[in-house]
Amino acid sequence: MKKRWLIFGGCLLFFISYTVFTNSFNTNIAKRLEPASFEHWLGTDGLGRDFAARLFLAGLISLGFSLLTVLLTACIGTCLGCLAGFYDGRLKHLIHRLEDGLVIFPDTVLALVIAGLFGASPQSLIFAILLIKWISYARLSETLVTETMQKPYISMARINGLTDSMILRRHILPPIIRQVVVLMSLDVGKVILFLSAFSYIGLGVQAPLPEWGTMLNEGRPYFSSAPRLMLLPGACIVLTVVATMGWTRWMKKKGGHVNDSDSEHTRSGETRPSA
Amino acid sequence: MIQIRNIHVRAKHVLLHDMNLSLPAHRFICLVGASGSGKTLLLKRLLDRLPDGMSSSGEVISDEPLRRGLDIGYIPQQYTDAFLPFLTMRQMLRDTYRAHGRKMDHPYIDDVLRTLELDPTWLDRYPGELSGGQLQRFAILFAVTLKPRLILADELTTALDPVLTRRLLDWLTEYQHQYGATILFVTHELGPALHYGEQLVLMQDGRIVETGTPQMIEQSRHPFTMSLMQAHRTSPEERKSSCTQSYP
Repeated sequence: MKKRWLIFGGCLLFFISYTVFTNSFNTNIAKRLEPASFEHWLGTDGLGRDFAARLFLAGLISLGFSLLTVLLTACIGTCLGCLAGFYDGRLKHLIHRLEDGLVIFPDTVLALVIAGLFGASPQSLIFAILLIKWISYARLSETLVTETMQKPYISMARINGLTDSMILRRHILPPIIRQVVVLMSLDVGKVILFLSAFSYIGLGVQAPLPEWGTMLNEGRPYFSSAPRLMLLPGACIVLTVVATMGWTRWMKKKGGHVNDSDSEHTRSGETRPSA
Repeated sequence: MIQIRNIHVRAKHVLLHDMNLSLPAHRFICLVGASGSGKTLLLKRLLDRLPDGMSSSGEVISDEPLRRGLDIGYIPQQYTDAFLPFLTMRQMLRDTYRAHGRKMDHPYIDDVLRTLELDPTWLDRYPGELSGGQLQRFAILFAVTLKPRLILADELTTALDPVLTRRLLDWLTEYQHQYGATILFVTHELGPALHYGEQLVLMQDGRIVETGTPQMIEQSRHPFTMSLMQAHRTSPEERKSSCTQSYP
């Protein structure tokens, strides 16, 4: 296991140094659409930029973006869900009404509206994903908290005089966090796809920053002469999404129980329309 | 002194009927009754932890405020689910102290562990690694951790052998004298109640049938009390022969 991590770390370091030393933003029209060589391992793109460096940097951007988005979404959703499950009253109703108000928007439509309002940028996309995705985390955690609240050890904790925050931190969060992480692992792949799709149509990451969806779009005019410009980013997207699915399966084996088709966790069986 | 005034608990049916009871301070009080008579429910009402779907009226009045954990210790009947499965006993014990802004009282804990015949190394075990009897004794340890003034013990001795039961009840009596505590001991056995109780409360079908000292209970002419006394006085030989007659 340790050896595997060492190999992974070594490869990562190697690719990072390759990306740093081969500037992925330097254009050189004289060297455009060059095939793979010792100097440019995967050749160059339509503007003469090193394709391997851009592909790797795009991977870092896609993964970093999706991890950050999913982490933010999970934190907000889980906190609100925990509060709704723990406290019965106005706060719970307010959170429910907020969920009901947002659940009617299909995620793609909402992302398009936000991009139209605030301009096409990764920040707009993060905001759109946040607005939509927190609901599944809130509902999952609310259900789990409500379930946990019925356990006799919660009753004993209250009798022993433990404070609400202590009960939430020590008794309620640890058992639900594992399932939230499983849902997060499912969402990482989905967000990568979402980002790539939006970058492909020009509403996500903007040039000159590389992103797999943007690279797919940039490679489109050269598909007949240099198909690798489209095939490689496409393959990267597919492989990363498949890898996140594998990660989810592994997490489930370790104890999470979130259903694959259940990432849109609902309170009363209603489903959210998707575009 | 704790006064229970007109406590009435109902779900679909009435479960506790207008109960009125005075629990004098610094006493060993035994609540005796058959299963389903409402003993545990009365304790839960005292703790304000009635299950969902039950409503109650009436009030519990105490001379001094009873703060959860600090002034009331509870030994549950279902002790196996009373512990967090993913924390060790030591972590849970530390949390109980922290909740009240106190540090762990190691000499006292060691003393209680010794009395309860619990190995101190078991504090580092998870609940799943302990037997039913050990968990029950840990439940007792948790109930007395902060030296509360009122201990509510629900069917305390069901998973314990007779020797440990006796030792434990002796220790509870000692605790009561040492810390001036009130012990409300719920049991369905009249034997230990007559031996340890200073005041007995007899319950049947959600009603208080009779209260009094062990001597008064022994001389009572109430049919329910008399049937309990008769069951208690029946010798083991008689019980054995009645079983043989019933199941030849």
